[in-house]
Amino acid sequence: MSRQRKSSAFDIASQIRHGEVSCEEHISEILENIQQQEPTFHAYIRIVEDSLDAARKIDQRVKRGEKLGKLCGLGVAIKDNISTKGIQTTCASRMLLDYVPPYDATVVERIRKEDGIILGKTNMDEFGMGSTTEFSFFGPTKNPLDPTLVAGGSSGGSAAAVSLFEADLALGSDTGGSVRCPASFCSIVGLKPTYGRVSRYGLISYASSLEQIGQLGRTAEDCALLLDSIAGYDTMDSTSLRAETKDNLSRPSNDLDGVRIGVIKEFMDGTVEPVSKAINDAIGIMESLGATSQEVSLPSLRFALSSYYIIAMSEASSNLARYDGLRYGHESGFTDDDWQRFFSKNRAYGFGSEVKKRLIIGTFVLIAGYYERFYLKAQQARSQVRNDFIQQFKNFDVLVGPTMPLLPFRLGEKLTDPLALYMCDIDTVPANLAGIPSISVPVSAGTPIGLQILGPILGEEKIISVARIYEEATR
Amino acid sequence: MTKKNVKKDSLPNIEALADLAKIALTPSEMKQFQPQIQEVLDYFENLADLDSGTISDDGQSRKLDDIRDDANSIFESSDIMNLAKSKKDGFVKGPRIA
Repeated sequence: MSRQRKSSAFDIASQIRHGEVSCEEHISEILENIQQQEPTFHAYIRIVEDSLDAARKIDQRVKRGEKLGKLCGLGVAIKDNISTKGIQTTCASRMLLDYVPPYDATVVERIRKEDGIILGKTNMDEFGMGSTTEFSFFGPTKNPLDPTLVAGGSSGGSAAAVSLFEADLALGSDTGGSVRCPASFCSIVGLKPTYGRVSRYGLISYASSLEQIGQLGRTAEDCALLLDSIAGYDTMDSTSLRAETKDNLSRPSNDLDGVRIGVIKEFMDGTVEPVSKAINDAIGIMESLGATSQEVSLPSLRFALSSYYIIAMSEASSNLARYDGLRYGHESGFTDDDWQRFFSKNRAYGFGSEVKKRLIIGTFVLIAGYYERFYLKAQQARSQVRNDFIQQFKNFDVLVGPTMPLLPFRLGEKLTDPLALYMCDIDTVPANLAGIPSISVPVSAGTPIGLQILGPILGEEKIISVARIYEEATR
Repeated sequence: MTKKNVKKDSLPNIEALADLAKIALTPSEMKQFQPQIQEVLDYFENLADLDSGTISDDGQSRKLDDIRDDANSIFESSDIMNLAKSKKDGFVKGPRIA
């Protein structure tokens, strides 16, 4: 077994820092994995060319005895909706095939500052709209556990890259579960931090009030390492929180003594049997580690999916208005068409069918006469969801349930049934509506079932600690 | 995981909606999208059951941190202009507006 396959990213960074492992050798191994596996799995849209040069520079700095950052020589994959200066950033859309950002997103700047090495841009559902990574202009990403199955989405490329050892760590974005869903299906760990914990500057907008840049790793500790490297206030994001940045890497205790766990009834009710059984078993393990658990009901969750999709589609219809071929995006060339026809033709060519549908629905629910019936109600439901969570966190340290209500399904199985696909997000969207942090951790190694652990606003430390203790007990 | 709370209602003309969203749909796209969009909107109707009488805010009440002072980011104009496909005399070319 290679060094990479038996060490966490955290340990590899430590080995490189202390000169025990050459960074060049480590990155070469990752590039070899990419070369061998990409034809089957398609986690990446683009590989950057200078990662080995960057690795050699890290080795030179280690030899000179320089102090290196938290991500010392680790290979990091970046979802293709996060801006990278001088590197094409397409959002997996034909609309942005030629787009090369003139600046780095804050998170990319911070990764470079902490001596992480950017490996490439990962596949995703177009503009983040999907739960399988099948809605990519570049074709789907396949599930690392079984290439006939979906990888989950929309950050399916990032999750697959980490699972396949084609990256040590990866960034995704989570608007309604887009980090946690593929983490669950690919049997790795995915973290969605509190809204505002990580800067969104340079994240190409889909639904601004819901989305947050998230971390994917093979362990909860690795996710914590990436979170601690990029979190914190940023003047370039007005929704960024000034909250103190905590050290999520400090060693948790060995047990869950005194931890009060609420099991979300609404999450368990709609879940297929193999998943609900695995989650109940996981809760049993947490109890054996000293936690207490109790079933809780959050009645507003029955409105969460409608509320989420109405808000997400409404915000998308506004955010994606900029892709008209003039300000951004594909331009079909000038004819005698007026501006309306010119924009409509460019958008018809550039956007895929799922994006078109969501923009049309988003436009519809905002027009006069329907606004009160849909958008206003959705915002009211969002308040209820948030209030229900606030109430429950007075009684419980964390809330748990499945990340996904079902197992990964076959590629193409739900492509023609949008509502069935949207239903897959039923357990992940509530955290985005409430702005709370949530982590998905495999119930056991190699199983495509994620245990979702949700915490209160800025409660990352707590959910990461519970996830790490659970992980260590089940390893 | 079940599709429930479905109430039938009619979607306004999809061609007019696509026009509002500035997306030129083909006839086959319109035929394919209409029932799918209708089904999603029917599902959204479950919000009619929401008791909103006791809700005091609109979901947007979280206080933002202070808005930062304006800060200029200097980009080379060539970096920006290179992103525009159609140019003429140093300007970005746009469609006919009248």
